[in-house]
Amino acid sequence: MSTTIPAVKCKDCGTPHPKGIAACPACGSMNLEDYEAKGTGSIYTYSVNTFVPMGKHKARAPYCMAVVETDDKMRITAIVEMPDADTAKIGDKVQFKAYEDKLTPIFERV
Amino acid sequence: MREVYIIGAHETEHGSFKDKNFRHLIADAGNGAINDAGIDRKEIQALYLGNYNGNGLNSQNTMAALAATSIGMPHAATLRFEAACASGGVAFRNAMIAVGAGVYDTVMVMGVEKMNIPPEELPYEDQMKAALSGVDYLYEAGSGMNGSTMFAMFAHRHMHEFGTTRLQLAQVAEKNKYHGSLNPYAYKQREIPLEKILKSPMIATPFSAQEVSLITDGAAAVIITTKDRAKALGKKNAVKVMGSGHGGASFSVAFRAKHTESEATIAAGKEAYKMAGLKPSDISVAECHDCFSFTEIMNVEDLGFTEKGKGGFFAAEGHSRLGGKLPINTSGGLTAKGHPIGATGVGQIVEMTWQLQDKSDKRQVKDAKFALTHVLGGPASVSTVHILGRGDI
Repeated sequence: MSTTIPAVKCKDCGTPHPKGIAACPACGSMNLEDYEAKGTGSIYTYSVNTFVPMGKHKARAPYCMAVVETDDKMRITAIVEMPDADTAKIGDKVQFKAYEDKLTPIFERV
Repeated sequence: MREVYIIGAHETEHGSFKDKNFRHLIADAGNGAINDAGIDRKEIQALYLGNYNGNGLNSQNTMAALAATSIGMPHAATLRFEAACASGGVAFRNAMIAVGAGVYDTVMVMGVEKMNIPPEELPYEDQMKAALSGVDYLYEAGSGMNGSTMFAMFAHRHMHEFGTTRLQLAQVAEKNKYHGSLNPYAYKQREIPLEKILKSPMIATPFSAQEVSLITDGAAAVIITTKDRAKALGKKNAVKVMGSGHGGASFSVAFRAKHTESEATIAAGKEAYKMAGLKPSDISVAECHDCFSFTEIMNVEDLGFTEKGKGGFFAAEGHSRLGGKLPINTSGGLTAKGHPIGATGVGQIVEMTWQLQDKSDKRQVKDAKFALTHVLGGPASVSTVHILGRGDI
């Protein structure tokens, strides 16, 4: 069974979101419930960060930063690990691994 | 609403200045605008300031009061506007509303940003953190995304959906570098051949180092007033503010519905065109937010200069180059003139004012009748559009 993503879901409009919100960005409702989003999905859009002169991800560059759309339609900004980041493309299938430093969702290309 | 006129405009040279702090930039822009207007500074009732990062980069908040005091007008009512890269545009719009509503007769709108700071004054890590504070920290900046990545994600989606090419992106940058080469106020006054732009090292794919806006020190100021006051002053070349718009879109890149357009720009444009009673084809010259090469492609679509998906062809076919049907970013834009963040929106108004006053020298657009300015702040989430016309004083 694949790893799921800790998330919340709006009980009013049904939109899933990564954890951290206090109200639903889609409808404003505070009626949220804990939710395990699917860990499988694909790259909706991306960029390969090549110039990273400082910061916690410096050693990782070049890395693929992506908006991932999970199979249950949650969008999340994340790093997608792959052997050669330059081969990243829209539609690549990805699998959630874990949160790093509480802020950075890490996926890997499958 | 009362009609509003621009009677004074000035901006500083743009660059990375070791010997100029934000006080020098404020003094140059503010006094330049007052001199251009030919009024006594005591007449200026309020100062509306665009400034993004005084607190983060310069250890200075309440920058509007400081700016007024710095140029001998401590009496002015002051307020600072922060909307990331749209700060200056938002400041101008609100000043226009205040004069239009009759709250004030004469207001100075200024924008300032001092971005090049020696590391011994503020470590680069802290500078980077301050620069990224206009991006959602919890969901995006904290996970490794920066300004380049953000717009690069829009670019890749646009390329995927519409077939926009890397070459078309570079052609936008080449055009703006050329315009910058004609502007004595620009940070980079040098043409860069297309080949070199394409071969420059990548910053965040698909953007090379020649396709990103510049970390710039600069300030700009304009003075606006009523038609009656402009008439009394005999300001025959006063520029009329014809339209203004201000739109919003999601602050989160991940949560937004589309990555090929900015709903903020579309809404701001519609509002401004409606107020001016004009349509996109009436515009003679424009400054629009090229924080990255691609952003201009998205903007020309969102502002209605071409249809959605065709923006890549607009610069490629020469339409937005000086001499084309709608020259865009005659100043060189953010990638050549530079991007002192809080000043950019006001600097665009200065550039377009000069175009409508036939003061633009080598980059003058002949018989320019209506000019448009457009800024985009945060993840394409705050936008203002202004339309200016030749005065009828």
